[in-house]
Amino acid sequence: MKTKFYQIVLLCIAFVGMAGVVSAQTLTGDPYDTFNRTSSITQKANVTLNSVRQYTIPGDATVASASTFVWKIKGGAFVTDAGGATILDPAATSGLTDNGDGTLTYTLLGDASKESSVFVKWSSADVTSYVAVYEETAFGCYNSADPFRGFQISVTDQLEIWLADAAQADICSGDEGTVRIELPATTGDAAANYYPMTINYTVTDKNGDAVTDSPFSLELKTIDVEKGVDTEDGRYFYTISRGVLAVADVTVDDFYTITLEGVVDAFKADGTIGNDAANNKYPSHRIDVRHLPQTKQMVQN
Amino acid sequence: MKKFFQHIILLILALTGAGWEAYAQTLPDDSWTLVQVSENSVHSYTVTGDINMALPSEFVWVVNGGTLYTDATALTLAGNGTTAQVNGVAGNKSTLFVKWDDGTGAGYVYAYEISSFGCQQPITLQSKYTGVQVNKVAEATARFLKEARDYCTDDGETYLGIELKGLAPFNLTYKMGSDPAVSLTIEQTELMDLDADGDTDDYKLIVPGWAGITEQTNIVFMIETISSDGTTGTIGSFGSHTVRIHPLPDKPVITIK
Repeated sequence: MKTKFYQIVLLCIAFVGMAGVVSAQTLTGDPYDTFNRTSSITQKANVTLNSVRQYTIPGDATVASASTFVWKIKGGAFVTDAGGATILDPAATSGLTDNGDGTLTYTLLGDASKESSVFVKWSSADVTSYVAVYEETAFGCYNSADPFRGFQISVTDQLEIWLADAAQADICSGDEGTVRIELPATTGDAAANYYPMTINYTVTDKNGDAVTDSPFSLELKTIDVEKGVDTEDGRYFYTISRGVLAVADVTVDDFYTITLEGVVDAFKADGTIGNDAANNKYPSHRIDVRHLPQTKQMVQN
Repeated sequence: MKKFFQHIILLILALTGAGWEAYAQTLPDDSWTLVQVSENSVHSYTVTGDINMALPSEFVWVVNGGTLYTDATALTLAGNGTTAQVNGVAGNKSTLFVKWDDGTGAGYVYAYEISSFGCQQPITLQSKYTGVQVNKVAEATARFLKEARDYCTDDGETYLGIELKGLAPFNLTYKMGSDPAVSLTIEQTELMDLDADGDTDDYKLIVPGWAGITEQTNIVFMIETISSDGTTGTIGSFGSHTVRIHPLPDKPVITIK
């Protein structure tokens, strides 16, 4: 028993020496008891509300066996994957604990690469949000002087998109044209979270029926705007090419309505569809297609 | 050097554009109605636009061989007289008048429609343009075939030959002596070739005999006016025809010796 104890102590000393850290100790108590968001972790990150971000910590590559990683988050939830559809339930997930103070702790064994990775969905605009982790070797050792890695999280507004006009000037049957979807700026911290985004929209005809064999060029009604963002006068927009629109019956006019149904940013956060006429934000856009004149034969009187 | 290339490009564009326009439409369209009109006559033309338009359209008119007017008296030019863009009226119709006054033998007028939404058929579509072709006939002229003719007082009903050139029907006014003027409307079917010149353009003006006249008498028939297709024509030579009526000689007295 005594021999084994000394062996563990020696291994801990060896581990700490290889890691180049001068302070190490076997784990007694919870290191998070001394955790402080602003002093224990110094990295900062912006995330979008409801986005899903993956965090990976490469463990000490020199340890013989994979370490255990103890993750702790505030302001979010652990989810199974980047899609974020399944939130892990502490009651049904081994190693996951709801601490009852708005934080969750998730203890995971490092993988074959001695890494650990989690997905977090940031579901709260809490200004004290964070994600932190420390590594505990197979021998129960951790770096007591500087145990934590992680980010102070700032949760920023959801992405918003809209259509700049409720309708556009009448077009003539057979004309081509475009519809612009207004987007947020492609520069700045938030932009890194927003782009590439996926926009879903629908097109209906004057009877309210969905246009499935669309006269619009994008049949799937899904746009990935990773590329192709245009700018003009300080505004950013994506252009839907609606191709040639022609009335089905040459004696009557038609109209189509494009409606923005949803937007998801680069990290699976649902955005919002602007609907504020006072600020020229509209969720839908109507295109009136006017039939061409059917002129009768001239007569001489 | 750069300017040189710019000029070359502009030239190519101009030539291409001209070629396209020529290809785009063939006007006048052979399918348009062909009518005859008198030179300098004024006719109204009406286009009925798309009856399914909620608001009247605009109509672009173009004439070749005449002048566009807004009124039947040809006093007020429509547009610049050659092209005009006018608003349609109730029923989405448009009417303008053309005076066929440029002296050439043929002409046409056409129009196309631009809806109140600014929509129009493509220029490549021939049926976009609706029009009428015209053959212009010289203004009417009238003259007697002969300046004078001798008759006897016992001649029965006879006729005076009047040659009519132009577009039938003709409106002719003549006077016989000091009698009130007489107006006639002469249809094409009433014309014949009295002078055997190969043209069916002569009219028989039937006059009664000279019964009751017992002495040498001259009656002057005068063509007062001639018009056709609403246009006043000219009176040629001979504009008058003198009927010289001679009394019969006394009955010879036969004596027996």
